[in-house]
Amino acid sequence: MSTNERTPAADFDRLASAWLADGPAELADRVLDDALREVHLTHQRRRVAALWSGPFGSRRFLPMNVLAKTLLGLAAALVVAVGGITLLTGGPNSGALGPSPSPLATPRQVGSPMPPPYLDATFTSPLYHYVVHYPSTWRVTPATRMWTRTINSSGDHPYWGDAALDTLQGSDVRLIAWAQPIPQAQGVSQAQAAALWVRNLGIGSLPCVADSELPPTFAVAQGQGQGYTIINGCGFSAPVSLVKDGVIYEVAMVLNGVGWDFTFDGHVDAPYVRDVLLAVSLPPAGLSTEPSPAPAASGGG
Amino acid sequence: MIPALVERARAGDEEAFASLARGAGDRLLAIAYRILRDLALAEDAVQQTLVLAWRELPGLRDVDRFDAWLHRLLVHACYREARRSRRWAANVRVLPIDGPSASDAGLASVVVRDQLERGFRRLPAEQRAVFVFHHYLGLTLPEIADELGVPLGTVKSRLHYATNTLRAALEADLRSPIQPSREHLA
Repeated sequence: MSTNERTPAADFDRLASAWLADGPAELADRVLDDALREVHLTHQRRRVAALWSGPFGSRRFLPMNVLAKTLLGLAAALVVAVGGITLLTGGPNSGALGPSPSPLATPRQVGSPMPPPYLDATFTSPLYHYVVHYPSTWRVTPATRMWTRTINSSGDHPYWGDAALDTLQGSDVRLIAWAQPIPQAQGVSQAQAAALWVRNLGIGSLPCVADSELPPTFAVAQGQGQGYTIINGCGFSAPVSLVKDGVIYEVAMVLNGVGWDFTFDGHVDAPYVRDVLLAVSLPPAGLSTEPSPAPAASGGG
Repeated sequence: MIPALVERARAGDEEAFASLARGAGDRLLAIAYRILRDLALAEDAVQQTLVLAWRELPGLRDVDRFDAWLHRLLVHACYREARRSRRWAANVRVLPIDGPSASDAGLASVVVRDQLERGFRRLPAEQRAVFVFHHYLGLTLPEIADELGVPLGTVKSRLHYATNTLRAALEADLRSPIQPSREHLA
């Protein structure tokens, strides 16, 4: 293409503006009415009233002895029925679980590079090295030690308040996160080890499903992997949840031989959980045992 | 008046929010359509934006920035809509529904419009948004950076690539065969 064939800049600008000037510029009443109807059914997010002070509980779930007799069998059925947790079908160099065959899985579109505006602060975990976006009004308490229990302990994971958790917390919503390497165990492939880890997280989880449920599996972490729903909007009253009538969502994901766990509780819904998890960045090289130099929590505008 | 409405809506006044929504709806639809080039997707994006704005309004610290904040929510909704949809789009000439306005007669012929349309559809949503904000809303690049919450360099880069793509579309050989092709909105 020769230079004299190029549209002069001024002409191009006029062409572009004229072309863009055409097209609909009036919102249909039905769209506005539908939006306002939905607004009427939607709660506004509360502003932060006060910082949380002091532990309200040291247990993450209701004690297992309370759940076990009435729910363990049901939870085991959940693992099968949900179908979102399965043995790997990928190659030996893959640490990620394979896609779920569940008909309920409706993967959210991947590769969203920018978090929603209300997640206007960024935290880089000094121990687990993921990056998560969160509301700048929240308080962040980074983990001070790594979680080190083996993958073979069923249902073994840290409880709220544990020093191995990154905790990000607003007035009525809390996010805790942690990760652990999933080494290849005796005679068990990496894929099977990962599946075992995710399944172990599911033991003791409740099968309830909120109105805005998460699918059993969905794309997370900017398309790096799949999230597996462990707890799907189940309700817990304080002091287990952050607030009375709070709910819990727990999502696990596996990438590059590392298992990641993100648990939300409080006044939170599935779309919010998906917004946060879609924008998470995971380290491509797995989990280093060396912490980052300093906790990195930056507020946004 | 707008800041007062925003304050009331922020405090939970649905009627105040409805007034804001009615005032902004047309503008939001116009912007969304010009980014997405699909009325149904644009309407979905606007609806999502309004609901999200209601939900998140308590977090808006500066009521004077309501419009810019709303634009940013809309653009993100457009990104989601663009990525949600994948479709086959025959790469054929598309006649516009509305012809050029009298003042633009001679500037935007049907052929040029078609070239721009096809070139625009090849752009990722992020570049489309910057292009629309610059050429439709008339915002400067720093203003766009501020509204979208991205660095100025990113805005410049996106506009540069969008402009180059559309220029190339305008200067392409019109006699090249038209083939049905799969196009992604994002």
